[in-house]
Amino acid sequence: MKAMLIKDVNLLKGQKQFFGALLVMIIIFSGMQSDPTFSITYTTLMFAILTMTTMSYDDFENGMCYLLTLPVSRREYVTEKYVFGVLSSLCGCTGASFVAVSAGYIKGIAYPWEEWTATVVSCMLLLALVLAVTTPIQLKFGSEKSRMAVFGVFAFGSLAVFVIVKLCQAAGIDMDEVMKSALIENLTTTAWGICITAAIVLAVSWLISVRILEKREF
Amino acid sequence: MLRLENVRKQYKGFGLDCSLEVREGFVTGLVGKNGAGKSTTFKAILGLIHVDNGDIQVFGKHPKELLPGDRERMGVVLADSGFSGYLTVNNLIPMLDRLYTKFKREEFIRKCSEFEIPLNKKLKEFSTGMKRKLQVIAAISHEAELLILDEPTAGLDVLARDELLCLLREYMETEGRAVLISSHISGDLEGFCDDIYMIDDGRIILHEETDVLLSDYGLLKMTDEQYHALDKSYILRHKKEEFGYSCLTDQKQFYQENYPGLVIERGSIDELIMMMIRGEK
Repeated sequence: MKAMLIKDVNLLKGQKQFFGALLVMIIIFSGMQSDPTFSITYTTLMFAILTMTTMSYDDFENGMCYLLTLPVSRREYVTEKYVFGVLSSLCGCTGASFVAVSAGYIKGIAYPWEEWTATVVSCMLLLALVLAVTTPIQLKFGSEKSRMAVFGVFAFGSLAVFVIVKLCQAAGIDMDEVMKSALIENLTTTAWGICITAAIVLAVSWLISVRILEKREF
Repeated sequence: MLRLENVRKQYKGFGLDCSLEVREGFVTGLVGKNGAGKSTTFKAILGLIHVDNGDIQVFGKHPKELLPGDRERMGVVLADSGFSGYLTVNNLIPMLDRLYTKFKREEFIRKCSEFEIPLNKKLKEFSTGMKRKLQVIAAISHEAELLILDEPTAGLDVLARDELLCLLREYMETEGRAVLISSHISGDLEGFCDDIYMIDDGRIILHEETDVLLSDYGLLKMTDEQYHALDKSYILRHKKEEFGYSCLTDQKQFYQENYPGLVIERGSIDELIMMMIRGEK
């Protein structure tokens, strides 16, 4: 798996412009906003999407076919993608947090530890969802066709969330109160719940991805 | 080292039904026209497609049972696939170092420089020939026992082809190794392979040792009268021509001795393929 991680890191090294643009955006957002939640979430998501980019690069000119003749099992290839996705997103999250907290320090705005934890924990769930959805879709449909499929899944997901929120409002449930209770008053329980949910979602997605790649013909 | 027994794979409009063997110490060639089934055979061997029937054994194991350790014993070149174009050779070195316990880093770099392969250029900017050379160098740089080479000389000029074949001959000097190679350039195979399989429409139509192919097989050219008077016991294929008939035989000497008036040519592997595919039985 180390060889595949080295390959993916090298693939990302070619994305200097992307990282430069991302850094500029984080600095601008951190300078303009007092709440760094958006910067951290946005960066983590961008890093999660990079996993999808490395799969597109692997697939470039039918490259996946050759990759699987190397001493790498299909299961190992899939596992590496999830490990890489989680590790790169954690790096993104850490980097964005560092920039955001530093900007807050310079501006004299304190960023409470609990608020940061709530943001990071929410990011982890979002990251798990992005990885869990995009990885099997990309392995199944390839880099070209998967874009539409991923767009469709996330559009459907957003619609589902919107409907749930509306239904809750109709039932008289105050969503702001629910979020406040989950992310501030019961942060530890929520954090554990999110971590366990994320782990389960990723494990199920990993199983599906392994099955897809083992069945795929080149 | 490698055996395929009645391996079948059915696609829409094409079916593979192939048996072949690659023995230790042998360089085995697979020839056939485009779309004959060469690449499908290679993909079946490498476990890149699922076969419908038959048995494939690589180092005594089915391709799906091959562990990464077994795959380390193989070197592969594919006609339509390679390392990601977004990597450079310098990016590949640490990756190959991790993948193969016997990877010879210095030798790999030396050979890249010998074949004028840039280390810092993205592979997508490489010419087809450079990509092929890189794949062959990567395939032989980790002491593989079995090379599976699908069109390794495609896109190379005469000099580069010769250099590459020299490299492969050097590779075969070590005992316990074997090569399965496909090429549409018959000259490469004539001078390099110990035996040759000919594939057409997914089926092996001929298997022969190269020496026998070149010494015993021949093309007979004759008029209609000569053809009708000919003993056809050793004629594999015949084809109507403007001047009369062309016939392919695997007993050239028989016709040389018994029909001194016939034009008998040695026949290159290209001509042999043409006759085997286009001639009638």
